[in-house]
Amino acid sequence: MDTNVFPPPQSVDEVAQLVKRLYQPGNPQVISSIQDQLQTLQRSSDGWQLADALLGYEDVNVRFFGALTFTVKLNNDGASLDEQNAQAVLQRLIHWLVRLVNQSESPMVIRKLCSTLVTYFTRSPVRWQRPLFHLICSFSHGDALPAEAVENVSLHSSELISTLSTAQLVSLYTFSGTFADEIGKIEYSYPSQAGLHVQMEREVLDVSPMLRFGLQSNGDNSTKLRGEALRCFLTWANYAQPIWPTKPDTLQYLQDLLEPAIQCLLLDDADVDALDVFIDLLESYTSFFQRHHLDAIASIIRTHFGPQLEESLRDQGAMFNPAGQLVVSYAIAVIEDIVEKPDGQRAQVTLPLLAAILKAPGYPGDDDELSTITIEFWNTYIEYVNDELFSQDSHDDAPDWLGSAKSVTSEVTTLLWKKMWTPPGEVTKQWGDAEKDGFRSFRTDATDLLVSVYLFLTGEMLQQLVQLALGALQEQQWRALEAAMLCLNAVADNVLEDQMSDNILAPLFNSALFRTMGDFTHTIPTQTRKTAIDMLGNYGQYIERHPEALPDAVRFLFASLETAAFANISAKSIALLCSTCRHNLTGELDGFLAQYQRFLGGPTSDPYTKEKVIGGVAAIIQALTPESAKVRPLMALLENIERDVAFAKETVASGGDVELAQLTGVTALQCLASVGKNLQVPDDVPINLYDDDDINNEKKARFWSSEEGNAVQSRITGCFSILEILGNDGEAIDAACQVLKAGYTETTPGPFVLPPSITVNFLQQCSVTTPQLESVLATACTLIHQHSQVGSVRIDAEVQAIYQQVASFAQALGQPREDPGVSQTSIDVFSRLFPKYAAVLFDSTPDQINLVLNFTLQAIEGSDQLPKRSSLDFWNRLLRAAGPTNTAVKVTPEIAAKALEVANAYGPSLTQTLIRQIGGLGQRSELDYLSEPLRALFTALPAQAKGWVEASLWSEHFPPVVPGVGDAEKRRFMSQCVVLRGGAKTKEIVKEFYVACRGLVSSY
Amino acid sequence: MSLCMSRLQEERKAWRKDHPFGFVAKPMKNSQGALDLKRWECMIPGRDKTIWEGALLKLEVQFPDEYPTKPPKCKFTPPLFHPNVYPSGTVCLSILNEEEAWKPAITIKQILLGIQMLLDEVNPESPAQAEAYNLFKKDRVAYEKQVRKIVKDNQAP
Repeated sequence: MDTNVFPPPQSVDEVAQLVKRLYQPGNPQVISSIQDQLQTLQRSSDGWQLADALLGYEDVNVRFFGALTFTVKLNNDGASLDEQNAQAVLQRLIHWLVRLVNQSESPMVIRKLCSTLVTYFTRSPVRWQRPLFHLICSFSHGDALPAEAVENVSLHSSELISTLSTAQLVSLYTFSGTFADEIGKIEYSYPSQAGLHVQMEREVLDVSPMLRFGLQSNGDNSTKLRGEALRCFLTWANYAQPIWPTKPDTLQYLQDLLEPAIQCLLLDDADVDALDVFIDLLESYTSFFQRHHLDAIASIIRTHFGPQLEESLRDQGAMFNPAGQLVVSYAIAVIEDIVEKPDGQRAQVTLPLLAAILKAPGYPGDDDELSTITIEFWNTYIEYVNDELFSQDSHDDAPDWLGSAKSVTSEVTTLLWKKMWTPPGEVTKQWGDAEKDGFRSFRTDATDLLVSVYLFLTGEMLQQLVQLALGALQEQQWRALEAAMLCLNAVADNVLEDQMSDNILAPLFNSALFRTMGDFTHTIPTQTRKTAIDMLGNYGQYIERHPEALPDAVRFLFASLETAAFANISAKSIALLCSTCRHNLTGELDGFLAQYQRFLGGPTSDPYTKEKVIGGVAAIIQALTPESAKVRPLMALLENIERDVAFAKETVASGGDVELAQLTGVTALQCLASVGKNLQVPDDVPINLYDDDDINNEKKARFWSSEEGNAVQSRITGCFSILEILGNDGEAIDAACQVLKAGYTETTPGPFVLPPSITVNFLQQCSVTTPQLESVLATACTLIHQHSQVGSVRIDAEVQAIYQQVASFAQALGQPREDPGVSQTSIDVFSRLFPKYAAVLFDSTPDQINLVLNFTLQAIEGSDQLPKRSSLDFWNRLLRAAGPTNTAVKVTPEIAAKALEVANAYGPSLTQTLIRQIGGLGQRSELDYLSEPLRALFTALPAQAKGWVEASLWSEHFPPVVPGVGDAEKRRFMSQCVVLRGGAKTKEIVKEFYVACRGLVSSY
Repeated sequence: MSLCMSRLQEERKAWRKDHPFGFVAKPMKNSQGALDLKRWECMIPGRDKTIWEGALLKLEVQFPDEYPTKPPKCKFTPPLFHPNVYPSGTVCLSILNEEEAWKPAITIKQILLGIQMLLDEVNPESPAQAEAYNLFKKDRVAYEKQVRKIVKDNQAP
């Protein structure tokens, strides 16, 4: 379809027709074609006349479009108007405003005309003196008054205002509001714009009587006038906030209006408008209010809003009520007095109301909309209290208000606890997502608040929460108990920092709590049991210190494990609690093994829960002494894993469900890794001064190399046989790596401390197509790293074998981009050779060295970021070994000499590669990585490096760069490199040169 | 008060007034027990209908003295398995980079929402850790499996 169905209009009438069409529904393509035509006309030189003519039309849309056209013209061409034309445009605009307002024009057109006038003010090259007064005079006169005539008006604006109609005044409020709003957006620190802001200081003299008139009006149309005046007043206050703090006299004109504005709060009709304005001002501009204003508001709350709010809370619960928001905003604004003068009027009128809100019936997120709002106040309250107390010196006297703050916050704790009770099922059944989210959000915010309150009340609050929990337990009020435990969970970290808390916690942990929770013959809400499980996780440290509660707790967890709704979190908690309290659970081990066995046969055992629980049990085994005691339970765990391995293998062999076999097999390896990880000696194990560690370690070593110990190890490695069927399964490979790694960090022998040759063999079974080969290579890296540590055993033969295998991967790939993941981890293995095993690299055949080094250089040239970074790190390490600071990187003189030889041989090609990247081929985020080897090069071989950089900069391989970077710039970069000799500042000059080459800066 | 501190107080106020569902952001305590406005502890929930749904991840946000001229540093604690999170846990995101898209007007809310988006909308152009990145590129199924495990380990209460 031809979208250009409308020929260009030939007359204003035709334009008006087009505008009317624009506002009618129709084909979007046609509309957009009309829009294009009209926009062309708006921008044309006839735009001014067109705008003026359209404003005289009958149709309201056409008039709106006329005003809009004026705005477009002013924005595009306003600045180039000469004085005469500027005055003419202004006269026409005022003429239309006066005429249309007097004709009861629609607010849409009036608002547009007002904003057009403001655009005129900001765009016109001729300064419009006293805009508001000009409009007032024109309204009074009945038509646009020429600017010169305005200067001769001797009457004051307040005298003229009283003669104006409601419609005229409303348009003036609209204009003034838009005016303040727009000027407020103009940056006041620019000198060119400063004049506009200076003019505002004059303008306020005309605005303030007009606002006062509206705020105090009491005639027929007073509701409308007050509302408009209040909105305009708010805009002016918002304008003043950032700009007039240094002009108190000017600001005072607006502050003087607060009194009549506050009176508007008392008038029923203006209520909501006035409330919104004051809520806004109290929140955003507290310092605008002077003392007597704040007192006046307190009085109004006492006599007017307080009773109104109380009544509403009584009749309708905590449903939304703007008076509640006013009380909150007010109380936040005067927080200092509320805390420090609890008997003063400000505290007395607000605190009871704020507590009443929390006491009122309703569920936050559902029918209670006020409680959430009060949280903001209580946060402010407690933060003020904490700030004051923490900034006190320790020898200062306690402030007078301390006692009252304690009782206030303690009451709030109880009130919040009650509000946090989850509603009964019949209520939540009706809830949608919004209500559920709202309620959960409230609970999160409330618990956050309680953490702050805890910092203040500490032990007293803990006592309170424990009592609430015990009381609820006694009464079997499960939802109340749940809320108390939720609060206790929130403060757990803080509670546990102070061991004095233990005495307060003891009655709860020694109570029947966990026994009751673990007794599934009781009907207890799911949420309550869940929160109880969380509590065990949160208070693990307490339980560790007081193991009396432990058996009940863990039994509860094992019992929960069999309920689908808690299986995951129970398993997680079992893992955590068994790990932290391993020493106190050794006596329960047989029971747990039996429970584990039962759980395995149940419906809730899945890969996740199995892995977590077996890890927990393994942690307890770790705590057994002597080593020989570990064998029996460990074998019991291994049997389960072996059974899964055997099942998986048989399933595949008999052509059964391959997917099930794969899942079972992978889980078996993951469980094995979890056992291995949990058998690690914990980091925080205390050093026993009286035992001789060496003798113990020797005993340990002897045991694990004995026949009995070897038997366990071979059972562990036997599980790897699963790889016969899962050798091409990435997850299985990864899990096998986790098993291998479990023993690496151990400093003493143990069942998972396997000989390094097992890792090597594993790697040797792999090819570049092995899935998750990256994981195997990363494992090899960890092995080399562990055996490079001080005091570790050197494993030259194994590292040599690893190197050979990894070099063969590089050869098989040919180019790093063939498999960036494998390339990167392979290069990481090469990097790890430095410094301890560098000889492995340097002593390989020249062909092999060549292969490896070229591979790394290709990685730097390539576009894959990770292999590139690894290569840059590799070269950095190699060059550091060659440099004069090589003693710091601990290499022997022979290695240093060989490194130097390699650096000399590969320097030119490495430098060229680096310079190509720095010259713009690399990415900005890579510059730090690129700088490092360049620095190392200048440190190791400063003289040669200069020549190589020079050759690279002027080589034909240097990338094409912007014309701004020529010989002079290149020379400058080179000489900076030379001067810095590899110093840290090299990074900066590399960045500067890079952005210059990319043309990202104007000068270099 | 310094620009940094006044802005942080403002941010705190704004956050309290209005924050997205499921998120937590609050200043941490210093060793004396007072609040340290320059170090915040945050919780980021996984977005609904993504593989991260149900997770709640802990993030530490550190504000430099030059904030808001310079961006804060955001770090998952413990470090998170994600292609755009460095092994140290630091988040790699353009709006957190002074040389890229950081602007002083960016709020804490925007930062946290940005990080939440990043969880599921991986930026393959900015790899930060090899483990998650390589898996993400090569074996999406295994990557997603790994994420689901993390979600279980960091279940929102």
